[in-house]
Amino acid sequence: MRGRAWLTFCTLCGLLLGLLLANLLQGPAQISALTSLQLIAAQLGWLPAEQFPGWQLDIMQYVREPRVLVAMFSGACFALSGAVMQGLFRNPLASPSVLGVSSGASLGAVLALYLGLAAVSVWAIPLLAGLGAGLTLFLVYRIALLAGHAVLSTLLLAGIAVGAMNGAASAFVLALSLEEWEVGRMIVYWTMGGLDARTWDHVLLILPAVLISPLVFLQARRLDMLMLGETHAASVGLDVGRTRLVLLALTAVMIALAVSVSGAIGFIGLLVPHVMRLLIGAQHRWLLPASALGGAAFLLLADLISRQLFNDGSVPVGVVTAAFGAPFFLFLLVQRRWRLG
Amino acid sequence: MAILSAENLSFSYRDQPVLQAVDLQFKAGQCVGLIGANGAGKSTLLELLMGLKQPQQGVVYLQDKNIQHCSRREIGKMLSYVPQQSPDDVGLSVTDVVAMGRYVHQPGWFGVNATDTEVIQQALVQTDLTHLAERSLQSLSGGERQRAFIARALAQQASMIVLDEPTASLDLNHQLDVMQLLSAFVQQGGSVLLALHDLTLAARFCQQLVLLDQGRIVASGTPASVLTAENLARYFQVQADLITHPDSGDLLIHPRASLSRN
Repeated sequence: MRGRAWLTFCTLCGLLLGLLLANLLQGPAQISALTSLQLIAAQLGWLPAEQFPGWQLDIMQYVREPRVLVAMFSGACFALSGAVMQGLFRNPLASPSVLGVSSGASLGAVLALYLGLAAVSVWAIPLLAGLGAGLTLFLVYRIALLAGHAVLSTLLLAGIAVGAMNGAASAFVLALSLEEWEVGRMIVYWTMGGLDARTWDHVLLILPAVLISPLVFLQARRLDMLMLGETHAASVGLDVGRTRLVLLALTAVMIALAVSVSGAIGFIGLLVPHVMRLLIGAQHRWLLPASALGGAAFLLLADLISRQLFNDGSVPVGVVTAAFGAPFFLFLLVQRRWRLG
Repeated sequence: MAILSAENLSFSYRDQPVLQAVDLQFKAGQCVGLIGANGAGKSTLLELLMGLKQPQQGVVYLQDKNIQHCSRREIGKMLSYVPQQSPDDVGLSVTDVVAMGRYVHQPGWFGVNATDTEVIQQALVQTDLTHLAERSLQSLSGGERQRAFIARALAQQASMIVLDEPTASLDLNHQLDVMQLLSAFVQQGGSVLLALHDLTLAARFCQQLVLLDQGRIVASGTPASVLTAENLARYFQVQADLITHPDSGDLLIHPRASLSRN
């Protein structure tokens, strides 16, 4: 088991590095792959930078690198949150969109775009997205707590209902904004999830989510216990309520930040943890880091494919993740016949 | 001093009373069986005693401390619990599950240390699971899975193991295995409290029986004093013969006819 886990990890790391490089070498600008490699080397100080034209260095530094880093980090966040939620809810259908956290973050971001705040400051979208995610989570958790202690099925149902409300509110704002074509277009494009025109500001935004991910990894043992259900977890000495709250808060932060830099990119949070579970088993000690790596690789791959197929950037990456992710997930579903519920 | 005691315990679901004014004391070094017909409140009583539910009235004391004021880890060091229902669709290995019993001693973020490994191995040997240690829970039979959860309870090294119907859904051979395992634990100075449906098993392996009917304790004491033909008729609605085994002296219950009208 352990050998297999290490093998999977090495493969994932190799895959991630390869995809990282492949994404860096690609773009609409006319820079050959060889030159791209040399540009990276120049940035790392291995080659003298003076021998390259400034615009090439700029494209590398201000266009491709931030895009690749944002893709990698938000892919990791979505997949890691999905893995946590599936363990937390003992439910294979759980993903960031359950609990309404994703849609809450989306609603906040849509409002920021509609009110024109996004044009004023780059921090407007993440701030409002974070607020939306946080408020949603608070509301859902309070509703579930009405039963005395948080009942999981109530939590899930409340999340789905509040998520639907968030979705309706987003659609309402979008309908209002259709009078102004440009704003409406931005919102529509944003809700599909995209990685265009990412800057180092966006990288900075998602960085806190990456920095807290070790805290999530440290909950692995407790997630294992929660997988057996509340009674089992409590009887082996786990403070179930507290652990659940910590995990929910950590995932809410990660989702809010990821959504605010890349839009609500669907399906990564559902698909990647399932694939990783097939590869290395259910133990969260391995599953959580593997999901993070896998999510990063998956989003890079999706970005690569979307730019190969539609190199004018007309189709956002979120469409590709769903278009390729969903059939693959269905295939796994038919093969394995997962228990639902 | 009693390890675990209950004082005037009452509990109801919505308006439906499940337990009423239950008083109990459990001393160390005994195997106590909780018996009663379906719906008598056995499972609820066990969950209250484990501090998993909050009583509307009365107090459960762990030694001399109100269990509601104890942390889950404090409780886990004294009491380990094998619930009636365990998930059978979890991809964790037997060792992973048994290792959870060490959390109360080693709440660290990462796995287990050398002592833990030794205790886990020992629990696996005691439950005869060594050859299945790396198998996933999903792939085990019901009896093997039950043994894995008992192994976890042993690895927890609590002074008392509480089990809810540990022999339900097991075949005869595994029922005996489980009961003998628990007897061995008692002989080593541990205490066991378990809910049981099989009265013959209860009579054979328990030193004390507590008979619950409609949320009240109606009889308690030695098996011979609790399992009388009169009690069986009144609380289990069966007309039963009580036979003493000629060699072992164990009490055998032979239910002859059902007395319930429906």
